[in-house]
Amino acid sequence: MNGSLARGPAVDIDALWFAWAGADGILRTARFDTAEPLIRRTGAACDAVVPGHGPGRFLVVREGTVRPWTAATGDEWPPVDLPEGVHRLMEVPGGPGADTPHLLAAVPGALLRHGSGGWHVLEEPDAPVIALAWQFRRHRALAFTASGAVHGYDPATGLLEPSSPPSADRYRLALYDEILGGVWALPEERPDRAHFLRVEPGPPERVYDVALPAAAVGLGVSHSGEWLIVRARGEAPSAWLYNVNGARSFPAPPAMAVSAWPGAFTFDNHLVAVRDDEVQIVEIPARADVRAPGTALDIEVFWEARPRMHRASRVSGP
Amino acid sequence: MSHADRGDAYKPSRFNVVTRAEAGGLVIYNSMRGSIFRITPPTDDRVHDLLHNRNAVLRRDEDQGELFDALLDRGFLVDADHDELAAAEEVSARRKNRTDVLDLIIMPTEACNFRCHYCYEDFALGRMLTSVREGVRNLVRERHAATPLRRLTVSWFGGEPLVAFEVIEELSAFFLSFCEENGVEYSAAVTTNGYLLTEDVARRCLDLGITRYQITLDGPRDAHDASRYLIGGGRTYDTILANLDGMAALSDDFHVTLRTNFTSENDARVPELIDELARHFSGDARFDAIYRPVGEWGGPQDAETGAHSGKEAELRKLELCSHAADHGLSHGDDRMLRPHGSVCYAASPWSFVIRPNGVVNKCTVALRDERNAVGLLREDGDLGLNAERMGLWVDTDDTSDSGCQTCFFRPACQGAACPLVRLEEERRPCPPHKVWIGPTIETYAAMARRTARSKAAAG
Ligand code: SF4
Ligand code: SF4
Repeated sequence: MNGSLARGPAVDIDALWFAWAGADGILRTARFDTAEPLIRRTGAACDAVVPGHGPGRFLVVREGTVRPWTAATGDEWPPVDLPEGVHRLMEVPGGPGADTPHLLAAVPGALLRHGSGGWHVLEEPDAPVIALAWQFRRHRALAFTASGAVHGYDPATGLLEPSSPPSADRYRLALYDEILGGVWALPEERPDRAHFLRVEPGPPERVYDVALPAAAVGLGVSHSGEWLIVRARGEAPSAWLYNVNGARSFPAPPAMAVSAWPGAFTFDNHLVAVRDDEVQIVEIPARADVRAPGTALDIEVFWEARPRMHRASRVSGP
Repeated sequence: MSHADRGDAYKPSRFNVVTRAEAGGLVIYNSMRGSIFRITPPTDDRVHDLLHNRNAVLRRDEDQGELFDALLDRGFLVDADHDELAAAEEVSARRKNRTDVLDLIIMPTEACNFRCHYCYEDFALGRMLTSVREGVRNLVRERHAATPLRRLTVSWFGGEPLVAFEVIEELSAFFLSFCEENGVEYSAAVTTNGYLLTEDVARRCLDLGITRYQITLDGPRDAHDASRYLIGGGRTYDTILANLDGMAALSDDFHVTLRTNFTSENDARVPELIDELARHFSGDARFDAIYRPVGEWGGPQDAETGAHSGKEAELRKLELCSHAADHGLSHGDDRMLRPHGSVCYAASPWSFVIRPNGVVNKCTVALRDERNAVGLLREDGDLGLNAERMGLWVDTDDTSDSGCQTCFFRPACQGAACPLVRLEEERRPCPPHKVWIGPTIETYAAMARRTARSKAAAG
């Protein structure tokens, strides 16, 4: 999760609803708590979509405006004009009024907040904001900059707490991982490595420096914290899964190859890729049995067979 | 009842255990009362004479009237016509038929920031769904409306529950206000790895009524960090210990159980941990230590964990407990010897595990077993219970097991120490402390004696 303005897939706070725009610029949604995902073409035009703060809630960006929208009910809020040059966007709880969403946006040179009186500058950080995310357990919005600094925004008080960069490293891409309480960031100088910076409870501190299977142009993380999705530059395989605990990488499962790059994980650890009206889902072991040292692993068996550790998480009723 | 009112024939209780202590004297235990006494010479022989023959019919004799009355008062002797089997059956039935209590073991998430070597969890489900949280609130409302609750007990479990602390905060705020408005007694506990339990989180937990904590440390720093590490291998010991120090600095009333899981690989190092913990928490009655052998809990590393088994594990557990008591850290595990003390929550019809997706379980271990999915919580609070699956957990106990019905440990265990063992292995789930009851009560009696002595010496 990093608030970047993309065609999706965006995942709601429950990780049950996905929303994305197809090549035709029309918004689609899918819900993943049923045996078969329910895919719906909404008919609404959409340039980009990011998660909102609520179950099934998204921020739909269209022609320079953003409007909160709830997938389950179709409820839509009045549009808000987006500031010039916005490249990261998120919704935080506790808006000033039912009709006025509480938004944060990163534009070149500034972090902005939208409240009852429109957009205001919250901070002019030392470097561009490359990730905006909500820290659920700390009730803070987190803005992570290319210098590795973290700015924590408390919507209850309106206060922003800045921190200093932990090192001289510069980062080009980052995303927040709630489980380990930190940010996975790709250093500018080393496209084949990722740093993990712990950002709670203290200032950012580098904990891991790991070798990725390929130079990464995109990154995703599973809700279990166990997997990173590494979107690779260049030829196939265009996507890998990196197992954080075992420090091992696997080409993305074959079912994913026919679709756009593997996008995101569901609440119950299924990897989902979307393209237009097509959805690919693969159940991924939430905890890989691959961490035993020296275990030879047949990748095909690994992906094609039922995950070796499965549980009653899909039980639909006794 | 005065002694004059009692009948004149008595018998030793069938729930007694009488054992000779290695250090001399006798240790006696009664599972209907849960009490343990050490009897020193020369009284020990007289007590032995009175209690050793279960079939004896005894009459109060003036010469040893005081001793006789003491044994009567403490339940070691009972009236000859007292039906102890019926009394034990009643203990069990009273537990099962309660409608005024609700125990919820709630998993705010199954995700965990640790990857412990021996862990059986697979971390598949993320943060509890919004609709399930609403279902939990409605469950409590509906249960109370159906038959008024006297007590609501919540245990936060995971995964690592503090990873989804916002779910704990949201639901705790509801439980606190609901219970206060409706005169329901509320208590809450959390089983956490302690990594995220910073001083401000601990403060917030206490404000939310969470007063019991179980936190695991598996040895001194290097041993702990080798078995309980972050996803990706990061160290955790120093952070946890700093968090515990932060808690100790608070003046609130709470209880922290420091748990150590031991295997043949780390157990030699556990005394070092005890020494270190004693330097931090000895003499603070809010901190207590327990020791558990790592069983084969179903994790992928089961074969490599060096799991202890049987008598060896139980004796080692007692040794460690005793060592900790000598360092002012343990008050013993004697809860398990009290009536109901060894009954697993899975065996009670009013106890439920709520998973983040609303699946309702009984057991917190067999998470992948379909028989354990006894219901599916709906948003309106309906548990959607399947009576047949519920029966597998709550009805396979002493009521249907003649061996349990005559067991000396029945009031404590009720044949329900682990319903999963009955399901999986089709055998009686006698807990290890019952099987090795002699050394167990001897150790607890010795611990109590030493603790009393050192308290007396401290003035
Ligand atoms: S049924 Fe057995 S394994 Fe399951 S929670 Fe109870 S004691 Fe543990
Ligand atoms: S399971 Fe074992 S300890 Fe428990 S009541 Fe039955 S025989 Fe006794």
